[in-house]
Amino acid sequence: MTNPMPARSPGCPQDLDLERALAGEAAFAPALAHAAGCDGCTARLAWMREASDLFARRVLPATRDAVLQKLHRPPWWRRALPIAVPVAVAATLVVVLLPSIQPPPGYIGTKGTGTPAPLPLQVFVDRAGKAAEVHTGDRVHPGDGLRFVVDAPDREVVLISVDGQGHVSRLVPGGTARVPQTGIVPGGSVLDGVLGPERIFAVELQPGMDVARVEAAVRAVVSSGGDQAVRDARALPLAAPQGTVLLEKVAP
Amino acid sequence: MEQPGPQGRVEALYRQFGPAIFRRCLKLLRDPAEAEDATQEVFVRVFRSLERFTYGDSALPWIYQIATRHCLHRLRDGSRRDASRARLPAASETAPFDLGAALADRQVASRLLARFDDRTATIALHALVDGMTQEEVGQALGLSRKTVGLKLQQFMDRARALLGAGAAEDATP
Repeated sequence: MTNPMPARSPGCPQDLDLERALAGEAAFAPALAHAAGCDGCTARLAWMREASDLFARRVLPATRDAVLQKLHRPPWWRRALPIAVPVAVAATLVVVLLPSIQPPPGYIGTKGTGTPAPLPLQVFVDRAGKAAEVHTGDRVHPGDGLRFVVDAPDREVVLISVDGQGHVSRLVPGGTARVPQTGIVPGGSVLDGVLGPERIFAVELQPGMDVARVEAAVRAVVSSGGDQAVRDARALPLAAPQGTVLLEKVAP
Repeated sequence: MEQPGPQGRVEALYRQFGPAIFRRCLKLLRDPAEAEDATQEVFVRVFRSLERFTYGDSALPWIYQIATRHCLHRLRDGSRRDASRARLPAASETAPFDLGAALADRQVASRLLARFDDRTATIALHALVDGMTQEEVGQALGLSRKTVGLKLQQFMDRARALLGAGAAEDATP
């Protein structure tokens, strides 16, 4: 079934109205009555019924087991918690108890705006349904799915990445997310095919700051261009808590 | 009468809502195999929320929005995953001033939608792909018609500029 659904004409019922009519909702029965006298809607309903048939014949048998398995198995991030929580605790202890040590490669400072608080950022890669935390310098592959844990409950954070070609990408829809109490950022991202370093930044939004400003800061720190600029870009010139992880994207 | 077990309940709900989810995904993604994947992911999300979500007299509008958002993210991820598609097609390839037709092209839709925030992209999908009026879009998303009109105009202006830029790039020797 490759033909697209016929377009709706002005004055015809919305797709959702037709869905509700097909579902037997009495309030939407007039949509079916309209369709009976409208060639365009007759074609739309025929497409919808064909899609239903395809669902029953192919999609349902092919996906039923996977759906049941997913619903009876805890989500991957919950299975990762036994690992993620101790790591987060250890990271917090390092920050609290050893403030004088030299910053590790993934540490973020800032230039000219005082020292912002670090924002603990953890990146997990989802490979074949298994979550594994990746750290600065770790290798990842195109197509890997990423999830993020940020220690900023109830705060708005920007998650953004930049690669050696200077492409800046928003890693969550809209670029920002409100972090739930668990720290696990809703949504995630899939790595593209550009090989080389990919640096991920998490920045806690401050009053008057928006995604565009963070993107501009990212572009500014990699303006010298190339892979090395990305590897060296350990801090954004923003007065905001921030964290970063540098990943090396290699072919599988 | 015996109540169905948890597995039976999942199956029953999948049979009930699966066709509507599949249709929505197929319409937006235009690829049966991808729509199949998206359908199971949307259903899992829907099922996990069904117990704690109050959706009034019908779950369908809510399910519809979840499916729309999921497909929107898939379209954007597709553009991000495939770096070879980074360039927007030239205007001449896509009839740039018919944005509905442009969005019917999966590749163009992916690249365009990736450049807008969620709300604007969703408004564009509803208006240009679903053929909804601004009032209908506003009603579906809980926005004023004025906001919808403004966002839609922003989308169209920028999309046309982007598609025009694609043509200009091609014209450069």
